[in-house]
Amino acid sequence: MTDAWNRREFLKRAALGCAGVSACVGGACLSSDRGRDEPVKRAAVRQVRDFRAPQQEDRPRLVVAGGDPDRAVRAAVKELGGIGAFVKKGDRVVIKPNIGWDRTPVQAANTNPEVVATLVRLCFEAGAGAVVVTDNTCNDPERCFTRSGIWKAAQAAGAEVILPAEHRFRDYDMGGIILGRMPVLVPAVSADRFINVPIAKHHGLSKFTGAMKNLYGILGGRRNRLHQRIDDSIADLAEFIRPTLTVMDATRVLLRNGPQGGNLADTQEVGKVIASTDQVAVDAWSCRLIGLTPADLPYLALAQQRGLGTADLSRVKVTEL
Amino acid sequence: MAGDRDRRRIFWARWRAGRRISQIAFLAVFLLLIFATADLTGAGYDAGNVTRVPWPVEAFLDIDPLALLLVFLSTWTVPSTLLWSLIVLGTAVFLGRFFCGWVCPMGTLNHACSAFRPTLSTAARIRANRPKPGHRIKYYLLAGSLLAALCGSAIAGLFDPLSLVTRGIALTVLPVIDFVAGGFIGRMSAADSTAVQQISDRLYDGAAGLLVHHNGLLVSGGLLVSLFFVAVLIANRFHPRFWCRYLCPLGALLGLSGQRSLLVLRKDESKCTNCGKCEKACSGAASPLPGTDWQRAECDLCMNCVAVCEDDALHFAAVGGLGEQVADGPDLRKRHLATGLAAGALLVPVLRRGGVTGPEGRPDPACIRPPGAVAEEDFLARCIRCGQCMKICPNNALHPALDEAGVEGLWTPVLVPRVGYCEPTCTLCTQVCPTAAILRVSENEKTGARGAALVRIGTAFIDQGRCLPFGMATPCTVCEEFCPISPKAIRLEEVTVTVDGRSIVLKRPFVVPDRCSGCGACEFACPVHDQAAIRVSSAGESRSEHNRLLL
Repeated sequence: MTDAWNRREFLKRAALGCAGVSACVGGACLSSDRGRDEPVKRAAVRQVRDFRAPQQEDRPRLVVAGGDPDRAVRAAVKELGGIGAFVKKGDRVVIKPNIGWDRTPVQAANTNPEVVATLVRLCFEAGAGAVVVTDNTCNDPERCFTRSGIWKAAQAAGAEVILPAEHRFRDYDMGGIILGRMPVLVPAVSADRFINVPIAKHHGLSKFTGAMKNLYGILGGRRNRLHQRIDDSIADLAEFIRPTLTVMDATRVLLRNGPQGGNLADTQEVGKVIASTDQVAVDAWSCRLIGLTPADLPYLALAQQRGLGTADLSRVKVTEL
Repeated sequence: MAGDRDRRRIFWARWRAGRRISQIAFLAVFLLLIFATADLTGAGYDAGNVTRVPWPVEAFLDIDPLALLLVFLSTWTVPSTLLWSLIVLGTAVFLGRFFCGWVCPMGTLNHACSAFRPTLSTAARIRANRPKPGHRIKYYLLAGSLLAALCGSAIAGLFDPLSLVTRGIALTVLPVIDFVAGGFIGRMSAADSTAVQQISDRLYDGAAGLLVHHNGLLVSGGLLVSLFFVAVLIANRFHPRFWCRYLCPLGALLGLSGQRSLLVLRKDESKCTNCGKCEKACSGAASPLPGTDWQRAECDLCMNCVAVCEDDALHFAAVGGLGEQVADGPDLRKRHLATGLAAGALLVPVLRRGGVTGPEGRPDPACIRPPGAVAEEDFLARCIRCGQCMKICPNNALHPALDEAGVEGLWTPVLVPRVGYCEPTCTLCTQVCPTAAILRVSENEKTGARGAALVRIGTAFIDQGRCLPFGMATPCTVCEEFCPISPKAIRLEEVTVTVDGRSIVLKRPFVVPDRCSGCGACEFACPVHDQAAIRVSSAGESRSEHNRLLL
């Protein structure tokens, strides 16, 4: 190099170099997630997200409706007092389907998209300000939301579809028996009303996955460890979230190889929708669709003991339409 | 005459502008196709949509004559999509290294790194832009590449510029943007203000799918890829278009093909004032200065020399006529050429000693290839390490190999289930391979549904000492739950054990090997976080005759 640097050039380059290095270091600091480990204030009492609407009757009601998904959902909700009993004008409603798997609707691993879309429309008919559809998936979120058909159907009905991106989780101290501090999908619990829309499925460990187990979908982090005490963790979740309404999709159920199935031979057309404000009762009733009884599911008894609902179907007022 | 001269300068300056526009346009298309090398998901798609790539995202690799030649020599077959590259070869026959100067995205990046606020002084640039003995290396590299291909290895894909730039952008630039942007947005979303959090959500939604891959792409094998790519770019600061002049085997191939090209640089020595502007601007180190021999095989037709010459001493014209001072092709040394050929011939047997292929070979358990991959020997004969399969994988499951496939298999794709598993219904990687190293596979073949023969990439093995129900008397069935095959490839056996007088019912998993596709969903999901209690190895992969597990 023929032209040597003069002092000014040297200083300029040195300053540029320093700026570059500090930009890199700054970028690295910014992008590291050290700040995330800040201690979360420990809750003194058990945290509850109570979305329940005021209830008049002592005896829980459960409605079973048949027909095509749209008609069944509308009939069931109407029988429970109409959507107006649950959603008020301007409410922000979260609809929580099961969008766990990279499966198509006919494989019955995710909630039927029509059931979800009908509920979205119902909420808007009641004057809801915003309707959010969200879930934390097991497979790749974008594929699950797309191939379940829920992304398209819910968005077409006017809902805001929120994918479970990492930054949408915050640590909550849930104060349960098993569930301590867990990352929770914030948009799923930031609402005035919460409608749980599970699908009735077989599950290898908990035997049946329905309403209560569907709430796993609001958790992030290493939820695969919860399987070690699955019944307690399901009950903990049901205690953390008290939904406004539960609408079980049993238009098509998964009889075996749950919870993700994959084989049409594992599914069965049932053509029913079950709705209630009591999520324990919904599970107790629905588990029979895949050949189980409430006594087979320890988490139902646990939930009843904790006063979260009724596992004893004789104490539930069932209306079959 | 001054008016005439100015008109001619303007004429050539327009050609130079045309070359710049062409470079930018092709680079833009290239980058768009890389971005489009992704899963198509969203509210616009119907339920059960078989997410397919609608555009030919691998187009820039399909037009790569070097890839065509490598695969042809190594397998004596030609993947039909690669026939597009004959167009590029055809332009080279008539126009020399036109592709290098006007189309090649790697060339454009090198050009930009060389020309944008150059570090070299004028005198140093003129010196750097003169022909160097080292510029012949690329011809020797090409000779070695072709001989290695003849010996059955497409390892020269490591030096293929289109492969290099695809790999570089997809596995280096995008992951870095992802990391920095994702980290920045992540910090914003952790802020204590709802307003800032909402802005971060918007930013994320805007960036998602385009720039920010939701689970990052940084793995160990990627580091070397990055270093190589960055080194290639930085070298331009000291030797303009270093890669293109010294090393690029595709450039060498196109240069040799163009020895009878129709365009020639005409020089008028009587008008030349020896100002050196043409040499300073030359992007190919092709000796544009009148009085020297124009190096046809080095010239990439960038049109700089004719556009900067103020003396009207240079212009391009059809071949045949006065004023041609053309070198007789690259001045290759027989000994060096022989060395290159010998190196290429020796490379393959040397690298394959220790043996990952052949009947006596011991496959590496971690060498889990994408579904649809051909048998290892054929795979190494085809894979040009372009990284398209890794870019498109929605689960970030495919990574550039470090030593999993032997030294020869550097940067070929391997599945790392702990980072991501092979999505059961996804067939994207099988759709984008330009050299048919990965053949198309249907959704049903991946899950064995509807009676289709299951495509297996490996088999899951349970490590009973680490497995919670086996080794720790603790309930867990996550692997069985995640197994996407139906009927399940992981089944459960109920046993009761007694701990401190308390009886515990456990469901212990076992693998049904002929059902297992080796997708790695179980290993990915296993709650034993550091080293999973169920791990996939390549044993039982259906592409191999020798790595079979069952009778």
